[in-house]
Amino acid sequence: MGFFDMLEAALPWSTAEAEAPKEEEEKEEESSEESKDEGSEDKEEPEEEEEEEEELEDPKEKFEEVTECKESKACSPAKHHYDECVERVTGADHGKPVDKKHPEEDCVEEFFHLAHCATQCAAPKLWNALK
Amino acid sequence: MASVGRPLYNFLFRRNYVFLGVIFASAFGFEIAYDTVTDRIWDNINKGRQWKDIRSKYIESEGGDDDE
Amino acid sequence: MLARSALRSKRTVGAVRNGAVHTSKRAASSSSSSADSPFRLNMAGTAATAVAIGSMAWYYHLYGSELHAMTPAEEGLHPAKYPWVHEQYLKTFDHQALRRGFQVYREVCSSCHSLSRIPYRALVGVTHTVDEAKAMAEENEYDSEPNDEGEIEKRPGKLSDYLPNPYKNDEAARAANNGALPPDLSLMVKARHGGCNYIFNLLTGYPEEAPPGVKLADGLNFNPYFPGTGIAMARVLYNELVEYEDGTPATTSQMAKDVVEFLNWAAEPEMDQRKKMGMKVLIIGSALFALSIWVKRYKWAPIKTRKIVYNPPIQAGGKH
Repeated sequence: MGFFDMLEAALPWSTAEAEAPKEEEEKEEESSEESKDEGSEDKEEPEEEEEEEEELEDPKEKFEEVTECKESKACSPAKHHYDECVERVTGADHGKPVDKKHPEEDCVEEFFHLAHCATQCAAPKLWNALK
Repeated sequence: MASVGRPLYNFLFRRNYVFLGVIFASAFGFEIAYDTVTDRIWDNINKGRQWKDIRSKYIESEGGDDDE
Repeated sequence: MLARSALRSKRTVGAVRNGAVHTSKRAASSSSSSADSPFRLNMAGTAATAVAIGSMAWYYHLYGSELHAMTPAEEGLHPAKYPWVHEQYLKTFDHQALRRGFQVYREVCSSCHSLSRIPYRALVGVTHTVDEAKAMAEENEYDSEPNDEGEIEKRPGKLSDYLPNPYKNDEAARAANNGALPPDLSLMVKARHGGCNYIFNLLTGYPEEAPPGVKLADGLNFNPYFPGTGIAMARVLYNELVEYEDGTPATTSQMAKDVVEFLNWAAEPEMDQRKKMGMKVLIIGSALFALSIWVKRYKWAPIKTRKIVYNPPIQAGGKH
């Protein structure tokens, strides 16, 4: 294809056009070949539109929070540790005995482990759901 | 083998300009053929992903308001 | 420290071994009860093993544990890996996604982040047609050449103009953003460890609320993926923030995915061509490689399979 274009451009009777409007028309004709791809895209769209009718929900959040991932068996140790940490750290505000050894404790590390587990678990599902 | 080689020799290798000419011509021809074939394979692998696949959508409404 | 402890343990073991040797010698030479010596041997062996294990445990305790220069929070959460299609060896960018991603950049990111290495002409034939790109360029004003009086007037943008920066300079950007400079995004996918995954996770990873106990400086937001977890940029992508012209539902993660793919294109606009050329080169290269192996075998086959026979010449005069 490329070669013939070049050849055509080099021929003495050809005309050079800055924005190649002629080519555009040709490509439009070609698009009949590509109708298959468009068809496959059309198939995907209705499914997504169904979701759209409801309140639009972020699939990432859905997979990580609402459905399995955060509650899954694989993430249950991380979830357990995080919940325990939350209780420990917030518990100090509610008159529970303060952990004197670690007064400045935060739950970042526990949060990391849980978030890592949940995103990793949701990643392939999310990519299936996204376009 | 010699019976096959003889005409080949007479045609191709006897005159250097023919030999060289055939090499250049076949290199040229091979590149065109190879590019055509690999481009087609490539377009097949990336069906629907390239600009030329989606271009028609935006050409139709040219000068229109599809991009505010 | 190590040398000393090692020496000491060696000495102890040596002493024990000497004792054992002595006892066994004595046992062999004298005719005392034979049940006594195996017990002592066992004791000595057990003690030596205990000392060896103990010293190893002590050494491991001292030097074996992994050291981290930074806490996990300072390091930031490592981004989760996503199966990006455009990162596969033989896949181009999805140009429909690039177009959506540019829309997200234009409507959301560009209010703070520049994309200064991308001219409008780069979009032509990638995400937009010539006319669309021209129309977008014309929406902005650029400095023109000095006129007759030496004044610099403004002119509408052309295809060759670069995308406009949101701020006049870095100082203006800092002043407008609480001291934090929104980085230029042109090469951001290449510039950050984790690339696409990092940016995608950063954009979508803002939790509803920070985990308890986290203390952040004023004006910072919690984002686990940002090293240090305190990021000046607040969450910007929310569902239906933009309206895609192709009808794709604009969820947070969809917008993040599209804009990340677009930024990857901005950082590597040559990727499609590069991969295609790579495929061609690899096909030709492997064919030539196979050919070269065949030629080598062809040339070497007679040499490798030859048999050298030496027949000593028969001497005319018989034996010497």
